[in-house]
Amino acid sequence: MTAAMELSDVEATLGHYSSLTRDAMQQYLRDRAPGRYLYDLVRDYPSRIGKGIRPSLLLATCQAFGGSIDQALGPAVAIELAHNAFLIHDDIEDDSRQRRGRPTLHRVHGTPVAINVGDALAVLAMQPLRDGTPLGTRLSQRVSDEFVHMLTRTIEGQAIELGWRADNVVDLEPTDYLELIGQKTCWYTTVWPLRVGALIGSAGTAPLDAITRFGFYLGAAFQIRDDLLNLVGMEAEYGKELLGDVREGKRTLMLIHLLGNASIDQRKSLIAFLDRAGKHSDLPDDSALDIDAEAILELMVHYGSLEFAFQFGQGVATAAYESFHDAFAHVPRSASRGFIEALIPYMLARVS
Amino acid sequence: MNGREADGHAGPRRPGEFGPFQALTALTDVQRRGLDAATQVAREFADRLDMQPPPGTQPTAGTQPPPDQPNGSGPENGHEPGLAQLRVTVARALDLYADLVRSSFEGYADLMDQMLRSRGVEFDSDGGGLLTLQGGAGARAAGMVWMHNTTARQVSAVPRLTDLASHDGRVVPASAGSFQPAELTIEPGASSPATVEVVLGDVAPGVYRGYVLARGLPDAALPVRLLVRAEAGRS
Repeated sequence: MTAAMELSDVEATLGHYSSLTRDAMQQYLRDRAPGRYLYDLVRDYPSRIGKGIRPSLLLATCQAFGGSIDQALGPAVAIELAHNAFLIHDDIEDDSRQRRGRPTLHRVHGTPVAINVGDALAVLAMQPLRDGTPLGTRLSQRVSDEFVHMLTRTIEGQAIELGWRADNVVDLEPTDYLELIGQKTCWYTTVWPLRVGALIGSAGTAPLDAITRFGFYLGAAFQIRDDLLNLVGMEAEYGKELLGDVREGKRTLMLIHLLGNASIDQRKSLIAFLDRAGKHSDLPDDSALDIDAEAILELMVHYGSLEFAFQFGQGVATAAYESFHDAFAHVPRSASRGFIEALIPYMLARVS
Repeated sequence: MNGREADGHAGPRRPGEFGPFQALTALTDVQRRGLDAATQVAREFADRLDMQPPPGTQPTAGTQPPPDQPNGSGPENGHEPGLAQLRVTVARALDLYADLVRSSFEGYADLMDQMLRSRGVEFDSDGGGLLTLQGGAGARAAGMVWMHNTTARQVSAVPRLTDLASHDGRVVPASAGSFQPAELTIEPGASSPATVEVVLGDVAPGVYRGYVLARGLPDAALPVRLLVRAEAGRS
């Protein structure tokens, strides 16, 4: 399966798992009052169809370890709802303009309403985990514990990133970046789906150390690619405004590389830009920053920061590949196992 | 890097070259940096996992596996394919059994709760299911009565004493007894006390029996035993 799996096959499988998750999600997104100010808006981001990597990874891992889709659908819905809650709050924190090709919620409805909608989605995300019938009491409790742990780690990672931007922290190494994304991205994008899928599929008997490491590598490859797409992707496919990360002063691998390689004067300008970006509420207008962001991209191209991140990501993907064979060493070959393995190159090749 | 065969590429893949990924054997310096940095951070990442798994389900996260089992998933931890499947089957069976026991217990508890609630309103005394009153002839005998409301509605009751009769036909009339408070209002699931007092007057010494009843509560009844002692100088 793996050898024959093309990019389109991976995306078709993602679409299949994603569709199952969306169908199961509907019962948590039903019409109810107050609709106009809350529940109509709660359905907004989930209706903007994304890749569905998180629920797909969870469902596939559960199947690979011998479980069924029905057993894992609740947690799959939970992570997708939590993901959408994170997106709303992230967009506010970054003052992003676009999400999945459309204006962000807070830009349309205002920040106070958007914060509340994000809160509602976060609470709704707990609901699918409350029905322990498909898993039994012990596993349900374990999955809930993992969920709380994942949320905590993600929020901690986000706090570190916001802190770096607010304090204009610039003396960073690639390992600092990896530690950051390990918290803010990997936990909820790959580590939790893999751990919970393995737990459910194996009825709690699977060792999770190797799974956790694989999840870290896979999530890191995902985030590095995401950061690159923000600079050089196709906006229509990527769904977010290009150069948004630069404007927001996000500490990406490319930025860290540029900070370490730029001339003294360029570095000074860069640090001044980041200082302003970290306090974006004080900016007179965004248009002035757009020019600076373009200039920074040019510097990144000039100093090979994009190529550095691309190759660095390949090194991470190599670790993911090795780790996959540890984590799934005793898992029988199957379509779902092949799909998970194919996600490694997919993380490096995806365009959205 | 690990002896695995490369897939024919000496250098890194490009995004357009999608296909099964294999570990790169000819690493550039940057790829090597990425690999090393990720490996270092992954180790710390797993070590920081402070969740405590239930006993017997998995090794503690961050525990280093034996040297001959690089991922801790070798035969010793029961993950040979056949044994792993057996463990899964046993774990599922145990989960089912545990949930069956739990749901049975919850069902039993619900049943008991229903039974208790169906008992309605009951009288009780400090002595259990029998109210014993004692006093000397010509004096007063007093005791405490409790009324328990195990229904889901508020109850109001007016307790009263029946005639108390001795074995030889003597009677202490109901009018000799009184309650304080005279009427009780009890919330659902609550209990309330009342003091009962019997004026013995000319009652002859002996043992008298009767009931505490309550107007409006036909099923509530508390047996009463009244012991009347002979006073000095009386017979």
